[in-house]
Amino acid sequence: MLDRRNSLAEQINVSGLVWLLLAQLAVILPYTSATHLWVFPALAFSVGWRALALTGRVNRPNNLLKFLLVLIAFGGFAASNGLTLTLQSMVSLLLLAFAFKSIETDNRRDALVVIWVAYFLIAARFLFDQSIAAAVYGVVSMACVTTTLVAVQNPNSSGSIYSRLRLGVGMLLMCLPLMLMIFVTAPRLPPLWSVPDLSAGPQTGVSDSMTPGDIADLSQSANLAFRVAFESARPAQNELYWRGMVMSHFDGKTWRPFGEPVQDEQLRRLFNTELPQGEVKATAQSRQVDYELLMEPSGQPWLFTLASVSHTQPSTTLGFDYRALSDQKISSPSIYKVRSLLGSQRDLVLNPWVRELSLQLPAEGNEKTRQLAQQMRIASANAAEYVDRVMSRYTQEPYHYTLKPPTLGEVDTIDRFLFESLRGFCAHYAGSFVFMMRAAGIPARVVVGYQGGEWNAKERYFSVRQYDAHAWAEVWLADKGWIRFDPTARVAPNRVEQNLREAMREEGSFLDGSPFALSRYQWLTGVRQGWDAIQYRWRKIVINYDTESQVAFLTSLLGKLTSTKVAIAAGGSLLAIVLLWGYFLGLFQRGAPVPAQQKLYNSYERLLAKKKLPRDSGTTPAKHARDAAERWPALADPLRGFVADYDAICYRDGEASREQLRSMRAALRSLYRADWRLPVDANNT
Amino acid sequence: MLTLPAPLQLRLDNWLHRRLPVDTQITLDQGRIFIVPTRLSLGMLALVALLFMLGNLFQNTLAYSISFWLLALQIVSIFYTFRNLSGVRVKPAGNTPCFAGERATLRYRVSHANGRPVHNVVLGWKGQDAATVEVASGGENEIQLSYAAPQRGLLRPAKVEIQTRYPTGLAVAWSYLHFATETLVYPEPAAVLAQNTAQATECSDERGHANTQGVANFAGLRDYHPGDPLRRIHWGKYAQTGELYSKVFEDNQHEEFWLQWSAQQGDTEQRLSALCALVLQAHQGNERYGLRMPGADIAPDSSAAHRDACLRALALYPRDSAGA
Repeated sequence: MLDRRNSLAEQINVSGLVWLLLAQLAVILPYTSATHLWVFPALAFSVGWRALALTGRVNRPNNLLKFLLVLIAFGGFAASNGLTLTLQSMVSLLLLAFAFKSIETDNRRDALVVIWVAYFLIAARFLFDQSIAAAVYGVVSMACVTTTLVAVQNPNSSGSIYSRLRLGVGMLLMCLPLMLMIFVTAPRLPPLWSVPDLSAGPQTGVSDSMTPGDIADLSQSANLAFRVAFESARPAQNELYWRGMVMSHFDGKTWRPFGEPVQDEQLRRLFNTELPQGEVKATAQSRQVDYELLMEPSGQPWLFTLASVSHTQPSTTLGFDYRALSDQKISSPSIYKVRSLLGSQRDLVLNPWVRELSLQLPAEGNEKTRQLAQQMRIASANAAEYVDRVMSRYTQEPYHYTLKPPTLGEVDTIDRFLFESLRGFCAHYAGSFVFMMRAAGIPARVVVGYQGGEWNAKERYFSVRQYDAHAWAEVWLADKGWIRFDPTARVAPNRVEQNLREAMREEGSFLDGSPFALSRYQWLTGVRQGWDAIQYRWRKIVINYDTESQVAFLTSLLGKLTSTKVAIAAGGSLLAIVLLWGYFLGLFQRGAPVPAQQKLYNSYERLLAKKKLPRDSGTTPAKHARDAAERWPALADPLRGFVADYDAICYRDGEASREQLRSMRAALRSLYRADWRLPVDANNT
Repeated sequence: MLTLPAPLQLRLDNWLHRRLPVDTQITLDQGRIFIVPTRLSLGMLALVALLFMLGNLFQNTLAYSISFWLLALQIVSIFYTFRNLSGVRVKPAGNTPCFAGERATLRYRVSHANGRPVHNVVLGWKGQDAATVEVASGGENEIQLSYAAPQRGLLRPAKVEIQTRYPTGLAVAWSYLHFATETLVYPEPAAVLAQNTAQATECSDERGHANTQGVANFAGLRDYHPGDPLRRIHWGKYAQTGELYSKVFEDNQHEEFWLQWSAQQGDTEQRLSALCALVLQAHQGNERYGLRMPGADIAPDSSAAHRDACLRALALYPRDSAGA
């Protein structure tokens, strides 16, 4: 190799510096939402410094400044993060390193380090967001960083900033066929080792406790919670009760799953050993549905399923309260295949521990409600009648369904709701209903999840959004098991039959805190659904491309998969890709065709060069031939004749006649066969 | 590149020579271009592996995609780099003789067979000289390279290495250009002026009539031109006027003298050096001189071509095999 000892230390030129700055900006920008706030002064400083360096006002920072910067940044890191390792903090650290490295980048080696980290950061951004928008942005950043690579590697090469962009983008486009091929065929292995769950991202969706008012907050968000695609016919809208959390413990104000906090891991162990899901018994009315849950990242492990799950994939755990827990927190979009038996019987015999849990009430408080429950229970012949009476009471009294309920204070919240305010949201109704049941000695529990969803007819799936969050009740009745009751449906039938928008039509409070949410505007429904369908396909086809979809896709292309078939297909497409590249890069292009006499002359020239008489660029063929004839007098005839023909064709006739070429060939042949030994001993001293 | 043991290197050179024959003009094509990934591409592959792990551990499709994209970029780069060298046409464009111990200058003309632009191509020799060349679309560019010429004689520069890492530096394409170029290296002119004058005086014996320079046939004065020998300057006139005048010798042309091999002292190389210096001096003095040495007898003349012929004879004088 030619000497490149100093090439890594070579300075970057202006075009390289401009591109470095652009790449840096492009890479850092999307992290504004995903990283710690204190990183930004450092990032802004580094970008600003680069901009100043570009105008030549600053050069490398001196060591003291560098030391101070690192001290401040890492001090900030330690102070705000407490040195726990999360994905966010790791990315913040990487961003800091990236920012500091780029401050002092002025030679090629440093620039290459910055470019490599930039590529990594582009990919790492997808750990936070894999939406279409994020992907498109990733493509733009790739173009930026690749162009920077080209600019940095060719500082002396002519070419404008724009021409480098064209080259960078061109190269990336050229990569696409191969990239797609690798994407489709590369094996999708399960995680090689399990990473500690680093996603300390914010948890979204329903939480693991319910205080009346919580769900009203959720209802202000139009964010997607999950999508569901049904393989069988879809159930009716009012059957879509997506169970998430089950709350069995009430402390007088807040509902929680259990009396004390239970870690996910403990819960899984409990579900797997002592309290697994009971038998799911089919009845005459029950119906089996198969569906695919496309969960959005929630930072929580629970799945939202229809009661009750009869079959699910191995990576989930089913519990005594008929809910499904994923083995991991859902931190990236993931698909779960679930089979449910709608209308099945659950727990005809109630476990005593569960019975106790489902009858728990605080020792005191809400005395009026307790009295009412006693009276109504005495007036009812049996438990079922009592439940009906309590349900009917919500329609008989002037209860009002609202997203803006009045506050209920700290104590006797249920009394206040039932007898004073009469205004509430689903959490109020479900909570008060379960309280009434338990006060009458009937096991009952609150279920929190989502209700309904928007049907996308084009792609045949439901989108369930945060504003579909809902709370309802389950009551255990002898001979029937757990039965779902939704008092909200009595107060606001629209909410369950249609959706929240319809239920809130009068009040006008649907998403009134989010003026930019598309869901707010009904006239945009077509556009919104079209866009949602695209996102759904993106999720389903691209993001969730796994071994299973890989096999399905390849089978649909190739038929039954055999290793020979796959090898031939892969080899064939590789060849096709290489030919495509060759075509687009002009590698098959030939120069202008060389005329026959020129080919002959070239051979002749090569022959003479081999005999140590090369022709200088300044010597005419005729003079060259004379020189040769002088040296090898025996060969003078073929030499002179050959060149005379050549000259005549080139300078007189313009085009070669057949005779001329024939005589040239003959002369050349005789030259090839000739004896080239010099006539006299060449030892001329 | 790594250095190979001598026998291996020899075999490699022979193979290269067969594969890349000597020519007067070379157009690089598939058969001539070698291409391999660079060390930087190891870094790229490490990054690809890292991103693959990121995709795998977090089961993240888009991180996988970036990994695959960069892998494809690595492979595409090889094609782009190859393309940048493919069709490049190099032709020697003459050279300038030099004196031993100096560096010979060799010129090459670079163009593209199909008129494509050529970017960031480096030509040169390891440890000698290298130059980067760019050729605009349809254009041609000439570069000059220097090559160390430690010994007089005919210098045959080693095969020229041509290489490019354009555009990403992830691959390097290179080839060797075997041109049958030769350049003359004249003996190193003896440096000591005093010795020269002494030798010049000795030479004067050979003129047939003894006279001292600058006295006979004085024809007059003319304005001093840069390059006129110092001894032609009319110092008396300079003292009078403060301006420089050169003395002109009308019949200088007729005054011939021979530079003699036998008049020189020392071994072969020293004699050649001395003669070289004398030839230069005589030429500068616009004198008619001839060169007489074993194997060459060059009749007196004063033209530049004559000087070159003399220097050529000195350059090509057979080397002492025994080593004086």
